[in-house]
Amino acid sequence: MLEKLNIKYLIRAHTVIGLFCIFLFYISSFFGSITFFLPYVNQWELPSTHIEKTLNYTFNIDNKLNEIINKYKLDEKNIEITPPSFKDPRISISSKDQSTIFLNPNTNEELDTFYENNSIAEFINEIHFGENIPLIGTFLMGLSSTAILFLILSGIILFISNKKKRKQNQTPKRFWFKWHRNLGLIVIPFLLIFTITGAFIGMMLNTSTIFSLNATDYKESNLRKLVSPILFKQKDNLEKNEINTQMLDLSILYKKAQENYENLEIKKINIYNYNKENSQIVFSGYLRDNRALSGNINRVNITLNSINAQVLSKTYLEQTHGIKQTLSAFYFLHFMPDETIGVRVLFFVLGVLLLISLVFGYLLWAQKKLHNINDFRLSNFINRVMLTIVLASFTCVGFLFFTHYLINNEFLQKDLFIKGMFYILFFILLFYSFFENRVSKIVKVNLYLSSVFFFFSAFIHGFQTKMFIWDSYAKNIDVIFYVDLILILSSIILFFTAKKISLNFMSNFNYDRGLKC
Amino acid sequence: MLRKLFFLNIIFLTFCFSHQLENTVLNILSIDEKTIKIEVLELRTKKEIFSNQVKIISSKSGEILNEFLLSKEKQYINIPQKEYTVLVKVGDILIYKKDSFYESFFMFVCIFIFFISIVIYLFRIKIYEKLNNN
Repeated sequence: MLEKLNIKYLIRAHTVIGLFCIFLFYISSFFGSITFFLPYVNQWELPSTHIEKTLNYTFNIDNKLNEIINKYKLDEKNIEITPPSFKDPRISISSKDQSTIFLNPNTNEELDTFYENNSIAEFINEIHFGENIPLIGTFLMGLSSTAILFLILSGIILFISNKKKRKQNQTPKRFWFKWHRNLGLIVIPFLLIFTITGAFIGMMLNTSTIFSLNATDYKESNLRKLVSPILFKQKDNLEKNEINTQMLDLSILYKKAQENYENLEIKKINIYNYNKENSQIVFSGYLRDNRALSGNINRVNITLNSINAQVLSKTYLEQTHGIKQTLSAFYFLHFMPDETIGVRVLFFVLGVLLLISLVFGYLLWAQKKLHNINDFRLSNFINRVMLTIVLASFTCVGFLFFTHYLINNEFLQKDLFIKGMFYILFFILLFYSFFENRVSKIVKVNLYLSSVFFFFSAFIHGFQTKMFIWDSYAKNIDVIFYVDLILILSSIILFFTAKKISLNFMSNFNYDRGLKC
Repeated sequence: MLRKLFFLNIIFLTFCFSHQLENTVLNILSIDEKTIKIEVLELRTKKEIFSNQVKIISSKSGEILNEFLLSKEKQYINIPQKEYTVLVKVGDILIYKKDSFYESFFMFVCIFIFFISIVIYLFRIKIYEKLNNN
């Protein structure tokens, strides 16, 4: 199909571009695979979300709403209520720029969340998007996604053109190559979704300044400021009204909204001009039969008169802007905001296969370089850095879980300490990787350390929250139980993997590979 | 090449620790010897915001010295006798004056370890390079 020379160039380009983006893309994919479970991690790290499931629970805060609004002097112009969901079992009540109040959905009791923060989830997300490197981080991640698009295309072309050869010459392929190719081919559809959306979010949105300046005769550089009033137009606050009128109970209005918009899964409730004569209530969410197009960016809604429950307006998907629908689909494919555990597990497995394929791809190049004496210094350096990135990602994530409950929430610098220690651990592991000759030992140390961190994080969580894995099981708090269980299982798997690794494991990557001493 | 990587790493770490994602600013203004003013501003519009939960805690023991809902009247408070920290909850984010010492400390430690790592690497590799060449 392709000439020999072209194939040679294509292989070269595939290798060079692959090497250029593999470090960033591995980090992004590794932490991205964990972000599939971020809603559950989020619950694990916030003690106020450890809420027992009660039977026949119905969302009802009729007797509490007024008390909360008065007590915290919430801005009556627009009060936002988030009902419990699989992402957060608490009820949240807030208004713009004020403290958010969280309630236990079973008892409607206020929860003390003053010192709580979701440091693990936020930090993992930051690393995934490259936000920990401001200005250029997200752009770099977007750039590596774009490069991966090229790698997918060139990979497919190389696979097709190699197929002919394989028929002529049935020689066994090397292990790394075989699995890099096979796993790479399996994850192509999954990878395409995430690289296209990732490139869009990371690169296009970050380089939009040029287009904004061009469109506004150099007056405005922020694209969001230009498109927000059109695409993300928020409902304006209602006219001020001084006449107090008791609005209907929220539960009645909620029921009415469900009756009038059966296909709507309510995710958010906004009350405008609370308990005033012209009060309105907006129920927004996604369509049960079209989650992708009515995702976070393009929610549909129904507006009721809060006083008499009369339907004032309804937005249908067809009425929404085409660009909003496209954006919604893009964001849905990348973030899966409304998908529950099934799709997340499937995507996580595909994410793991992608990571293995990336590592094998790297090993292919590294193995070629092993016999080149001129590259000894550089190739060893890159090998050790790559080894640290691959293994330290596990160890450092384990460390994040471990330190989250080890450091008290009241300690104000907790967030910074966790990040600081995360980076320090990474550099200590890099130091060890440079120092140690035998690769097998580096792998073992990393796996043992990760195993210890994962195991103890489940128990430190138990000590601090007084909810050990057996308590969450007995109380039916599924999310906490499963997160603890996965932490312990990961720990056991990592421990036995470390134990199984022989001293000769990948010995050709040792510094003294050519020596018999 | 290694030297360049080392400096790149310094830039990376400086960026990592200097990165802030906050949308609000907390100002604690001294009015006179006995009074301070707590001011919370929205970063973009510089508009003052109110009705946030405020806690004034002892910097050493963490004991709560005062607790109230921020309003125009309660913005001015007497300076506590103990060393204190002002905490304000905006949305579900806790705002307080951050101590930059820890950032510099962590940055220094990371850079130091990385520097030592490269030195160690160069020592190790020199030995094996010679042996392998022979």
